[in-house]
Amino acid sequence: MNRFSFKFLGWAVVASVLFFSCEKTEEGGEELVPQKTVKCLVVNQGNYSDANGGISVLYSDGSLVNQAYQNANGEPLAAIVESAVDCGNTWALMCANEDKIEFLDKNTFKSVAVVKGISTPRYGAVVGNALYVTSSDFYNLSTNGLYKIDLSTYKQTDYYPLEGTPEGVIYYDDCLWVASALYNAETWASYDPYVCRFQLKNDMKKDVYKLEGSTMAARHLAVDKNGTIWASLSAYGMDGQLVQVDTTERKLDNEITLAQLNYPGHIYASSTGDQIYYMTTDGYSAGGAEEITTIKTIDVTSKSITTVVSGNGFYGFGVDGTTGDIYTANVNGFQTNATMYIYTSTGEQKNEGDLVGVGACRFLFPK
Amino acid sequence: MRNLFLILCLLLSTPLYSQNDSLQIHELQEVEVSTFRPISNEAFSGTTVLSAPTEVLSQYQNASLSDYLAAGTPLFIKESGYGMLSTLSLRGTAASHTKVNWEGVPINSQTMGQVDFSQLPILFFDEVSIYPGGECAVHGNGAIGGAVSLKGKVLFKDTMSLQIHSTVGSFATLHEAVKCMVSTPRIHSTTALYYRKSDNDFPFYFRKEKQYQQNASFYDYGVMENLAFRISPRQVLSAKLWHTYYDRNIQPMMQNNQNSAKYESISNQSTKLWLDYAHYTPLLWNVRLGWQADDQLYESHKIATDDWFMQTSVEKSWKKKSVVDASLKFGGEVHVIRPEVYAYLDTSVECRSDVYLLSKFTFLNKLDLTCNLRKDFVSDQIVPFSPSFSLSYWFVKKEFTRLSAGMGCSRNVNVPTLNDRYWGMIDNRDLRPEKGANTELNIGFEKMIRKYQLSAQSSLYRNSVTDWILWMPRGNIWKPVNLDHVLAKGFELSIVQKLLMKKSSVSLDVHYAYNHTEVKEGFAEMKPFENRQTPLLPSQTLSTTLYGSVGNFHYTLLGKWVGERNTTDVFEQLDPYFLMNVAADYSFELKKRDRKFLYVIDVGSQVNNLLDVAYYTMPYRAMPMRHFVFFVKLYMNKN
Repeated sequence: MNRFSFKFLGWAVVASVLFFSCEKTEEGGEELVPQKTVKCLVVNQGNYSDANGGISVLYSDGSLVNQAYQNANGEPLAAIVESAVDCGNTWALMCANEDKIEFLDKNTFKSVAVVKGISTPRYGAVVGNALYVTSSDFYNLSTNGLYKIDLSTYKQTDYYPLEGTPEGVIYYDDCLWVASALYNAETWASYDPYVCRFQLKNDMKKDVYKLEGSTMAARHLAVDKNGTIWASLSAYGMDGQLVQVDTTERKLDNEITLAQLNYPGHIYASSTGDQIYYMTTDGYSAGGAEEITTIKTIDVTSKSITTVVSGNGFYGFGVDGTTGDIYTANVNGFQTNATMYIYTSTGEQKNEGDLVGVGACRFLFPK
Repeated sequence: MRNLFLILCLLLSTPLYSQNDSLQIHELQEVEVSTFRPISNEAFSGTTVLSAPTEVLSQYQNASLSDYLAAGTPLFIKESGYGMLSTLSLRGTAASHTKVNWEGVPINSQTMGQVDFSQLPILFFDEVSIYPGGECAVHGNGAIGGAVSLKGKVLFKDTMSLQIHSTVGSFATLHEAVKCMVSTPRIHSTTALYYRKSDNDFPFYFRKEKQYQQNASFYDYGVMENLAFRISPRQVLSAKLWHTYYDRNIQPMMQNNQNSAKYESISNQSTKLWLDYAHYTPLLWNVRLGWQADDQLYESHKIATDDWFMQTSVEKSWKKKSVVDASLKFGGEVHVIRPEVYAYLDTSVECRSDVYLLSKFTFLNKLDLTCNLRKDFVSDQIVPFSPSFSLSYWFVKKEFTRLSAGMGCSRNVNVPTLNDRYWGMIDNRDLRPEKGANTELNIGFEKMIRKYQLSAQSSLYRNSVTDWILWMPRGNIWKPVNLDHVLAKGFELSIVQKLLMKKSSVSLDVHYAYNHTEVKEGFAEMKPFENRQTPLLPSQTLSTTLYGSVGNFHYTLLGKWVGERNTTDVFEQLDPYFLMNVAADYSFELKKRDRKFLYVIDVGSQVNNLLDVAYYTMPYRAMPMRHFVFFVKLYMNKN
């Protein structure tokens, strides 16, 4: 080995030491740094025809890592990610196109297990050592329902059929509550929204709470400080609604009509349970390229509505239960990467906008 | 004033490289009896032209136009799998910005606006010409990115030919075809029939696991008739028929390959029929009445359109009478379209029509000028004028050497498709037409030294499109909206060489294309994406075609390199790839039983994707690696 080679080797060693712990922010392709604390898991739904869903990770030191799945596993997820659930030691990603539930290590994001065979998994809720997942395939309604996955074996162990298109699911009062609606695949329209209650301690006994007369679909559920369950109802071209589940009469009532509740209809209760967060579509920007969207709260007692954040192209949002911060993103029409924004609970913008994956729509905060 | 004159001279000295009087990159085969054919609108085009070499087309008679364009030209074809939907984007524009005319009639889907090139059998055409660069005044509404012209020959001379093709290939692919041409001084008929099927179960790798493609089988068949009757020396009556049908399973994405719940299928029937009457002197007057219909079944959903149309034109040429040669053509067409689509709000009839005036002048055999204008009329829509203008100047125009330079500009429109206007049970008729402003500079050089021919051509273009239509999520559906501004610009270079020897010939075509298309205005927060190429379109492509013959042996080597492509995710790129296809055949001339007929049996083979490259043009839509085709052709020609 000549002198030049030794010199080169020396520089290479120095460089490798210097760069080994480097990380880049707001860029893809960098190594993950597992020792840091995850502040927010950003679920990037992806563009359906490109199947480029994935996750971005925001750490407590402010660094942001995109393509976290690809970095950890050496290949892309190759799917659309509808939602994610914190399962304790793992994150569960509910994926479509390819239909699967991918379980990732909580810190390293390496794939731990993959559950297949559930058509179009949508949303999930963890109860003990089980994950309950709704399945909602518009084109094959017969397999829709609630699936139970054992988190020890990562195997599907039970299936509870549901009519229509089940969406959001929550766990409350020893019951699983699922939002759903009957669905006509020919006319692409939902009708007869309902909420279904499964009693875990009563052999999964099923109770159905209907909202007569509405043709919108029940999408998501939240529980307020009084233990009242709220459901969002939405449909394209119609003013959405928030309703409360009357557990005594077994029906949905106390309708609050909301101008253009945005289609996914995500709602969240604040950490104190005195506010319900929701999102509306208020029109379109000049030229019609972007939706003007607003995140609002409704006081569960007074029913007064407060606008918290306004912006363009928001598709989903999340509320940090610890700080009350609101996370959302302009999805730029799913044509390219989304721009994530963080706001305080009073609507003050905390960042300039960070580039995340395509279609960022769910924001999870580790328990 | 003098300076102004100088500037004007400079401008005139960079005129457009007009294809019509040049030797061309690939010389178009002139119709033998050209007086029995109206001047095509393309003759008024001021943009460059890419013509498929007839030698190569003859070796790809068993293939679709998609197969040839994807392998043998710098054009980028988006294929949703092998034998699946294949669309062509010219110069960085969208698939619906490529106008495809068969014998002067637009055959783009009325619902989608695009053309599935996998369903255009090369067998049907004698001439395939691509006109990159928008020029709606010439090609009609929709040609914002460019146009493709497909034509057959009409001879009116005493001759006949019969071709029978039989092809087998990998993945249980079968292609049978017959093409018969009979011509007399009064009647001409060309009939072509084909049938193709494939199991299409090619292997591919996904997550390092070898899989065999599922649910991608297809079959299709078609018939084409081109009939012409010379009523008198001044009148020709002709009829054209096209009928194709395909039934195919839709190739699933790689990750869904083994999930039968995701399998889908589609079938489509396309029929075109028209009558054409031409009267020649003193003016050439042409009128055409026709009907074309598409009937598609996507799963159980019907997507159908009926299009009744009439075209008429009057033209006159003045040749060699003075220092100026001139051609003028005035015409128009009316289409009455009745859609029957399961997802439309209603099935109201839509009327689309246009009028145009095309002109071309040649001054002193040195300066070519084209000036064209078209105006479209669409139900409930105001469509702006589409003018185009070009200049080309021949610095050298000798028998064996030619050098020219030119410039062209055009304003183009694309009226929203029926899907844009009606899809999703909503009324979108307020959607504005897309508008393109195309400018380009061209330079061309041709040289012939004894048996060696060299042709080089280069273009620089800029295409600014406003109100670009993009489908965006709106609640639970996707809906088209107008984007403010998309800019496409680029550079193209073509070098064609040919060496003719006594019993052999060899040609080498090299084409390079650079394109950059980006959204300049549209989303309020597109700043991070400035200077970024539109997803899935390569910035660079390079194609080489080596073909020739030695005696009765013919060969073709196609090489194509496609550069890195962006995806919708800025952190992810699709890798570049290089494909190579080889074709060779040998012609056995059978003993002539009499001197009038020549019998030839041609036996050959193609090896596609010779280098066994794993690639895809659309994300996760697998394409076959190395595969083979064997063919036998029987020719009978009356001399």
